[in-house]
Amino acid sequence: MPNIPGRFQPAPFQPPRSTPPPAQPSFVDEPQEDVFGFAEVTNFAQAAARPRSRGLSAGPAGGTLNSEGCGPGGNPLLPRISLVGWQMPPEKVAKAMGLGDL
Amino acid sequence: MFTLSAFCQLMASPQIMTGLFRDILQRHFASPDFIGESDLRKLIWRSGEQTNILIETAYRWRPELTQLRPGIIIKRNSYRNVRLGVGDALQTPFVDQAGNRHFATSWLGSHTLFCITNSGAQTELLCSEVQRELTGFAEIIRGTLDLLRFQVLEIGPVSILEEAQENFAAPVTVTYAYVDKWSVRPQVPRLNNISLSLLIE
Repeated sequence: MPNIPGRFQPAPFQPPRSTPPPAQPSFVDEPQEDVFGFAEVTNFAQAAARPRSRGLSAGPAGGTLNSEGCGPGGNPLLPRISLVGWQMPPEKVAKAMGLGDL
Repeated sequence: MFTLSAFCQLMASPQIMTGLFRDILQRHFASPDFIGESDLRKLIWRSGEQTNILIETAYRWRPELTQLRPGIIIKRNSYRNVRLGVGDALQTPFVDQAGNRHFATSWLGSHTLFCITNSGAQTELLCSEVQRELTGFAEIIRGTLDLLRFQVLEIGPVSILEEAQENFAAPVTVTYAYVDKWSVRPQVPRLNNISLSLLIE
């Protein structure tokens, strides 16, 4: 094949364009508490062993992780009751019994 | 000294009412023949550590006991005074012929019975069993203790017990009302009359 000057010349070398770095898994560059929903978790290995779903495993507001998956303590559908803080208001008793006007 | 009449005056005091609930429930769960719910008939109360169900007052409760077995914890709520008259005085008769003054006032009180188990369904059964026992004998209890009212007011929702989160608890609240009466006897005989002639002289 005739070598015609000016044709089929390889293009001068150009450095490759700067490309954005490959996307990293989202759990790497996000704060761990955002990924798992637990601000208390600081050990990555411990966090990876936990389910990554939010909500149900988070427990009550301000709660801790110790109740997760062990008994009814982690059930967000049930209210809490405390024997220490329990009190039945006397006004409610009087009204319910119809004796408040005595 | 404790006389019979003095004891009768204390029939609806907080301590007596707490003991009443404890005694009734312990007797009820002492035999499977008394337990209406068949799934609870294995929960036999016995005196001592070998009991299958703990029935105790709140101030004698230890959390480790309830973690091992179902339990009923009895806790008294606040009493409220409702006055019947000015100065708690009975209107008729306020002062009798001997000079004794009579007073009366009424009190509203309530106890909450916490039914605690490690199963939600069993908690429902236990609180229903307690409610049926107390509702069934409400009129007998009211008449025996001379109460104005005695009724199971409400059964609270099944909840998670904060103090032992592996347990479910449901509160059963019982309310009652009674009239406390007393008399004040004067130390000296009542003055019948004053001789004005003696004063004039």
